[in-house]
Amino acid sequence: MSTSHAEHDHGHGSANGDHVPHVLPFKVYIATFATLLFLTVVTVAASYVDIGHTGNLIVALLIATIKASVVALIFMHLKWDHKFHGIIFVSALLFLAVFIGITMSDTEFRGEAEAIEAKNPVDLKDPFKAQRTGDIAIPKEAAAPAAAGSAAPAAGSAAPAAVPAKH
Amino acid sequence: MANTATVDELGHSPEVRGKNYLNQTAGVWSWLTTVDHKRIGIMYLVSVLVGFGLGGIFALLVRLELLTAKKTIMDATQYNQAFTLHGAAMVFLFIIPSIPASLGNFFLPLMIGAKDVAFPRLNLLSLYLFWIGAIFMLAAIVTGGVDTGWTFYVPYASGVSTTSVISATFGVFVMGFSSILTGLNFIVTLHKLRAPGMSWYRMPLFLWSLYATSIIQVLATPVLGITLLLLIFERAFHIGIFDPTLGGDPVLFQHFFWFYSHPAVYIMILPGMGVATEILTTHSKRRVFGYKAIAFSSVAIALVSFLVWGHHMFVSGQSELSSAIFSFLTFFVAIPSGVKMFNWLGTLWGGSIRFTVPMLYGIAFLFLFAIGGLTGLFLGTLSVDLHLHDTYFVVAHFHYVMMGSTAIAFFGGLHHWWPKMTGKMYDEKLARVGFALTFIGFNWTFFTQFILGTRGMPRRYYNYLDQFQPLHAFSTYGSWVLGTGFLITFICLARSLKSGAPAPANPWDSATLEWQTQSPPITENFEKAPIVTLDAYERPAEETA
Repeated sequence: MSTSHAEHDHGHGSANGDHVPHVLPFKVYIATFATLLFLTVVTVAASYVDIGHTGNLIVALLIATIKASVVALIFMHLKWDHKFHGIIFVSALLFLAVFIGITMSDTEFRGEAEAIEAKNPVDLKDPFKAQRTGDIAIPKEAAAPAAAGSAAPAAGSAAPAAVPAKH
Repeated sequence: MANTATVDELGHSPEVRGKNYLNQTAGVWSWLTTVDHKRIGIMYLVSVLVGFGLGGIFALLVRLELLTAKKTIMDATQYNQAFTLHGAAMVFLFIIPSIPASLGNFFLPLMIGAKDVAFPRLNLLSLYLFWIGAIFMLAAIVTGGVDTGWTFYVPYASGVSTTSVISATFGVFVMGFSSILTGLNFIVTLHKLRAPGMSWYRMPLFLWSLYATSIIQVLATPVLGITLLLLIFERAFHIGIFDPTLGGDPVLFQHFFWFYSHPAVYIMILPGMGVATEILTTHSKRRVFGYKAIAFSSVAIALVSFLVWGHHMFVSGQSELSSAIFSFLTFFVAIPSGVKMFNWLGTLWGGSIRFTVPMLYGIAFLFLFAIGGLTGLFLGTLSVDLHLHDTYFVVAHFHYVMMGSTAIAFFGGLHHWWPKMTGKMYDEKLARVGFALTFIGFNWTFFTQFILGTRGMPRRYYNYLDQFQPLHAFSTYGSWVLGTGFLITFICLARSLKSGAPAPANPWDSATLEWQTQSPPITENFEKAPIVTLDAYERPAEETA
């Protein structure tokens, strides 16, 4: 399909920046449509092959990425457009990746501090004891009695042994 | 700039003198159907000032209620609605569109020597969308108010509140489109319609700040749109997305919301920084020190703004890993902000400083932004924020940034460009009184709240401990001084429309292009297309010197 677009190399990015409409042969659109349909069938077929949760996910995302690329490059004409527009398009994907990626640093690791605190409950009468026992600088032998002490708060203490997490 | 070979001192021949964009055509219909960026800017200006007045009334009501530790003038439900509507009106009806949509619309084409923005009809559409969104918000106020806080946090907003949440959020959703269209229009205009010779590095820095703002508007606002739509769907159809009782994740809402709303903070402050730059350079008669540093720091702020949203969520239950990452990234915002601050001071150094009214606002901006920005570092520090979160310290901090910096810059810009927009000079003495009361009242009201916050006064509380009452009362008295200052400013500007002296083309002896046409400008902006031959802020005299 690229052979029929020699003129577009001149049409886009002219000195005055005017946009020249870009027309593709009808058969290219049909071929693209057929490709997308075929890849949809592949997606469904791949879901019946069990290669593990992560494996299936990667395959499905890979096929979806190819489909999205075909749409962007051909239907959206980015293949023949200014490089600058390609950069804009990729930047948008980058922002999406930042949004989802950093959000996952929350959703995938939420509550870990609570788990650690639950293992080392705080003695309100000596609130820093549990932290000291968790300090890797303290030799294990020295820390062991203190850890036992913090796990079993002093009898007769009215205060709860563990305080709820800050959140 | 007088940096045009084809434009004379006033830029006009006798045929067009006396004609301007205000008197070219007459009647309400000519305004409602105009595609002139200047008229659209003026209509935006009036709209955002109405929004400011509305938000201001709610602010005064909130402060009045907090005069005493128990009930003063309203019950708890009304109080919740008052602070919500204060926040929502100020953020969505005033601050976000304030500088870009009013001053930006008016001056962006003038400053690059263009006749209009790239898509004039789209510009008018964005104004109509803004009005439609505002109507939905006003409808929410009339039909039961909103009591969720301007952040619409779930699950309260999606399932508990009985107020008009859908109407308010839909209004914000529609206004988001207005914001996107304006941003898109500005980006295309700056890329495509700069006058011959107006290279990127010859543009006034206000335009660089508008460019950075537009990038954020286009990239971030759609996320707010999606978030609010999901909220509406959950509230209306009980689709579980954010509400934990429906299987949703409420912290996810905060991620969605702040991914827009933190960059939106820079939508609010970046144009203010741009206005301050124009004021400081013009009224100190000195070229901007560190032009490229200021220009690129605007873009840097825009990019970093997308990486720090989680610092609003340190106590939300997000993972400790996330909090540490966001706290670390937040400090990067300080670098371009510091670059700007030192370059502004460098611009003033050795300048011929004139304490005109716009300059007073410009200098006030420097003071207030320094306080607002530095206290932001306190709150960005994870360990400190755990104590200060949801206290009046946060309230004071963001008022120093939003009100003390953006609103002060907006009013500075309004005084700076008022002669160009209206063709009238205002009463300098009265404007100084208005400024002085605003500046004193602002610090009186909000510095007090820093102290309240560090002493543990939580924000959004209707009743509070008696020990906080004296400081609350003190803050409320300050709000009355602040309100009086704004009232005098409005009276001053309104009076100038009727009885102000005619404004010359360039009353401040500015070097930028918008002053090289008559005041107010003709509909086409310039009689002949300007050709730019000098650098930004460069004067012809410097060239010959």
